[in-house]
Amino acid sequence: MQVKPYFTAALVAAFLVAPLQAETLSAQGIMEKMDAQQRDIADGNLSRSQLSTCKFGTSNKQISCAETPRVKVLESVSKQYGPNKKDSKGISILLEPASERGIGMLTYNYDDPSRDTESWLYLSALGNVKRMASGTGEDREPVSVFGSEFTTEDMENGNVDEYSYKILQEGPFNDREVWVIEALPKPERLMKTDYSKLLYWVDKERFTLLKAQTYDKRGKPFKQILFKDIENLNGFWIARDVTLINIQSQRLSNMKTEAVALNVTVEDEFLTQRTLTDFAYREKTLEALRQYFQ
Amino acid sequence: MNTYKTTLLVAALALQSSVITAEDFLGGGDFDFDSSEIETQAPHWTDGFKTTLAHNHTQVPGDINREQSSLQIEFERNLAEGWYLQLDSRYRYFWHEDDFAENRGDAYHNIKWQRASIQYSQGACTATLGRQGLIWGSVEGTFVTDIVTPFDYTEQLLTDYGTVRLHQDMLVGECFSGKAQLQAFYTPEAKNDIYQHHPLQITLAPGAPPLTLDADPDEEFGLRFKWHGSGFDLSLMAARLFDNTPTPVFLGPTSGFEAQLAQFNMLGAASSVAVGRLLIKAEAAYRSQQITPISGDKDSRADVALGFEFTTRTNHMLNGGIWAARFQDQQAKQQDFEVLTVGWRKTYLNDDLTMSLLGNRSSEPKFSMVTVLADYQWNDYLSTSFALTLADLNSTTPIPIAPAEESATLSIKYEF
Repeated sequence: MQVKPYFTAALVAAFLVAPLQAETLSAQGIMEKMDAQQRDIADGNLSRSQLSTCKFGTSNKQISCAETPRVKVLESVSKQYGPNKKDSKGISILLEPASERGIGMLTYNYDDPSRDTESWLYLSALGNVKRMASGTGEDREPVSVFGSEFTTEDMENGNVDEYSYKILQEGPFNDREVWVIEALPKPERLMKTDYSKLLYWVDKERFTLLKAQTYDKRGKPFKQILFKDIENLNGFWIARDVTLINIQSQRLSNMKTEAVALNVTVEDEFLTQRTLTDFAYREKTLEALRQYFQ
Repeated sequence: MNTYKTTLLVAALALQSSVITAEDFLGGGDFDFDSSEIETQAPHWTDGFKTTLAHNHTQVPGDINREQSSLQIEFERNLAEGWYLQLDSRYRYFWHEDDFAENRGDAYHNIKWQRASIQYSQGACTATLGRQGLIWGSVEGTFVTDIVTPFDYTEQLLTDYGTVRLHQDMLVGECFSGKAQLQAFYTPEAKNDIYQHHPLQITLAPGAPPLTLDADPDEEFGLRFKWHGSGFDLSLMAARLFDNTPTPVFLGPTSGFEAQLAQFNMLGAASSVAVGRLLIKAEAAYRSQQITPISGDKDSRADVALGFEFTTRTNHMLNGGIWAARFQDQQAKQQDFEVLTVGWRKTYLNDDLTMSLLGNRSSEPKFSMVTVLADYQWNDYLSTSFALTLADLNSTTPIPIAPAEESATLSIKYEF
């Protein structure tokens, strides 16, 4: 009976596995690398996106819209600033639906927690630029983005240090090798988040998300986010199709990036209030950037 | 020996526990969504058009106040590099039950151009020529420096002052440099507040012939310097303007009364400071050559307004403002007034339902008013709104924005 050698081999194997794990990236390191990549993508970025929201029905795990989706189309430009590119400026113009066409929003986000987010809103009906009272955006309930299931919390990046991370599993997922990483909000984050836990499926080679799962404050599954149509554009991997499924409200939102230009030169002057009211200047600049659309 | 083996087994299992999880996150069973069922539309030149069909019905006790239908067509397009065109025209039909139609004798229609402008941008500057609006000032619901664009009181004020503005023909030039902006405007023939689509008359004394408040302003021009810092905006303005409301002046027993428009110089400043979720705003202005009613004496006036906007943790948006005007001449002191404005807005049901409230209290003319509005977006095209207005009208002067002490408004709008 070859019991003793079997157990010895298992013990040796267990010890061998541990050192190998220590040489790979930590969960925190993976998330930081992914966050840095997202900031690089947002630095000099022009995109035209369609955001669709609907109630859904399920049949054999296949979900589909149970009503005509509400569609918003927007064009956005963003640029990162600061020594670590953690500050950002961005402008978004709503193109559809007709009732909201022309609404423009300019936002300045700062990594420094002592600096409030600054934002200005242009309403075409009023013809005026208004400074908004927004604070940091994180000291209040997460706000729905354009009435979709995405909240401001779902869209933000740069808060890597506010979570503790652990690798739960590694292996193949949808033909890609992934880490499954658990993120638990630290106490300061727990006060201003909708989520008690998040899980991320991170592509090991590309450091992109393939899937994310959030849990509500009672620990129940809340939202599932699927990332599809992942392409390499100018050396960056981006998901052009992101679907957020709210399991509790039975509603989903899909964001399709119809056209995107990465790593383009965006003049600092473009990310100012001028762009909200000087339409001739805005279109002149956007036309020059749109030629890089992919 | 058996104990040793068992211990070894437990130890091996314990060491490998970090790679054995209770749940397999790599397995199947996920939801799947085929996003190709959602159509995407490529940009098309007709995207510049927007059409709005609307109908408004306002009921006051025992009568219909407003019964109006409208068709609005807007178009905007980049014509060539640096050139931009904007058009906004609205056709309104006043049904015979509408008060405006009753005053006129029958149903009628009216076409209003809110926007017909062409914009040219070159370098750091831009010029916009044509029909457009120009909004100065920062404190919502007050009009210390926000007097360039007058009011159209044939439009209905519910909870948004933007719906009652009357755009006019002007040339606006702006130059931008970093955080600073310099703006100048010129209007060859200014408009003033429009109360009705026929001349407004007031009776100043029993038995006296009614006075038609119909005075045409002339040219207006002005300059604004705006600067924005980190969390802080500041504007300085100087302008030569006409008053938006004619003043009745008694010219003597022979000539009687005449409606006059004050032409005055205005110096003003406006600022806003953002502190977290609080926005604090302030404005101040000095106006010369104000006309005292009846006597026609010239006087100067100082206005100041203080306001705030605050977003709560649960995303209720609150705003408020107080506006005070003081006349220099002691004999004109009865014209001093204060206006208090409060507002609230919140969205519900995935932003489909917007609830808002606007309250006003004025010392001269004396009135108080509050409107609650519910606006529901049924889909990307259709919306309906319902508003209730309660007003306490103590003044004998008609208040254009408050037709009665109680009113209810139902509107339906289709936009595509």
